[in-house]
Amino acid sequence: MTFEEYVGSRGPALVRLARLLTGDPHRADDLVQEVFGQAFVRWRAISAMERPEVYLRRMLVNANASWWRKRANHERPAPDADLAWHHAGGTDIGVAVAETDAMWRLLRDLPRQQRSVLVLRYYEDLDDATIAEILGCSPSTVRSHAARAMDALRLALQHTPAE
Amino acid sequence: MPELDELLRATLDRHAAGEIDRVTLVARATDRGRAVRRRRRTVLTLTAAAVAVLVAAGGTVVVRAVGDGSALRPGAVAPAEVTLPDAGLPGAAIDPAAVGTDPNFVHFAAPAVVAGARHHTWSSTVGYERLEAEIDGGLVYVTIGRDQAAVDQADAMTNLPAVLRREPVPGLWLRVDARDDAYARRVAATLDLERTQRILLPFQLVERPSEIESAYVGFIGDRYAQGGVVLRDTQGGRMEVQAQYARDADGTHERSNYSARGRPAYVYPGQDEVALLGVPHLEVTVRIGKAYEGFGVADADAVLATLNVTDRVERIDTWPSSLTLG
Repeated sequence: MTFEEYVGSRGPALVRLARLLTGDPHRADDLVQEVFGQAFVRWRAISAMERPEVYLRRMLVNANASWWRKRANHERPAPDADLAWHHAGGTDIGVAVAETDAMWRLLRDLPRQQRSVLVLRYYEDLDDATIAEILGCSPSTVRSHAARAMDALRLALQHTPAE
Repeated sequence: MPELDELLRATLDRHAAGEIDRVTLVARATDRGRAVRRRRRTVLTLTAAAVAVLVAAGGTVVVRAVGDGSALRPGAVAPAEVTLPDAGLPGAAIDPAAVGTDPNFVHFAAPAVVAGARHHTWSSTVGYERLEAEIDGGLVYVTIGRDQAAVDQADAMTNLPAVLRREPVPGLWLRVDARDDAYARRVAATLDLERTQRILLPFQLVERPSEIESAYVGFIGDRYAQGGVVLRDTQGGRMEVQAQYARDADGTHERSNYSARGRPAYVYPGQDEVALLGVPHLEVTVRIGKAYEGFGVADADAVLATLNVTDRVERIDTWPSSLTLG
């Protein structure tokens, strides 16, 4: 598969993953372009891999980590800009929207590694071994991150008043 | 705690969703990759050496700088390979009420933009019609609609510095987004608002679970890149049928794991996408999952089993003459 064919068919999935990892659609676009830019010059080797999609996801996760390391203040996207993005389809969805908005805020507050594990497990439906390969850690570390993240979410939800 | 799992999945699905323009994604990715490669090759040293050789030989070098505006030439004619057929209907300036009412048509033409574009995409959806192009090293968006708010909403995310808004005839709104005001005005001056083009794709829907809401077709240079239609049912279910150009003669590389009423197909893990196999130079897919919830594999089945697909994607004159049959 050529680079262009791969980006055309699998690129959108990477953009969606980047939106979840970064919490910011604009930075997600930048990050994906950065990853594809690097992948372009090594495409022959990447495309020969058994699972190029795993390698690209690892590149994306690393690029996101580098972005965070470069910013000491760990800035987050402005709430208004973020809401404007995901509310573009309408505002009359009601309670379900309030619940997912609350959950989204909690997810964004999780430590980066914990959030990455939940995104890869619950959005990408990947197994722990693959997640470990992407994050560069062991499967037991993945399980540990997942357990801590879920505990934190449960605890936070118990203390979040219904809207 | 199943409720937490469900809420987590719903939250992630919702925040991952949203339109992604594949033509632009591919173009930007290759641009970025080439830039990375250029940097790695320390091109400045090589260029200086080459110029020195040319000057020493008394040669003359003509260089068209990226973004110098020379690709947009009024009166230029778009290549036949990327020219959509004339619909024989009045254009937006003559019948503004028709704009954004039928995804089969775009009620304007832009031959000069198309002729000079590195890539361009036509789209038509409820409320507005649009041309997106990369020309002279920058993106340009031309949008028309019957309502100024709808046109502005369509281009809210373009983030280009210059926006030109006009009402060329009562009831028709035109917006051009470009890198600067002068370029936006130049683009506007080349538009033909008296012509209507028919949006065509290298495939045609025969059986479909609901009506087409929007259609798009994109080209890179003078070659088809991708196009598709979005179907939406009354409950908000969404399905996208898309065909992307593939260099390989047999289309998608995946091995068949499914049969769409006898046609070899591939269901992707997650059951959110089904690809039709064996179509020369095309990857034909139906996306139904994640952001497109509401339809199932059986609906994709019906669409793919009856789809008419051209076997000569490079020849627009061999494509089906309409998006749907009947």
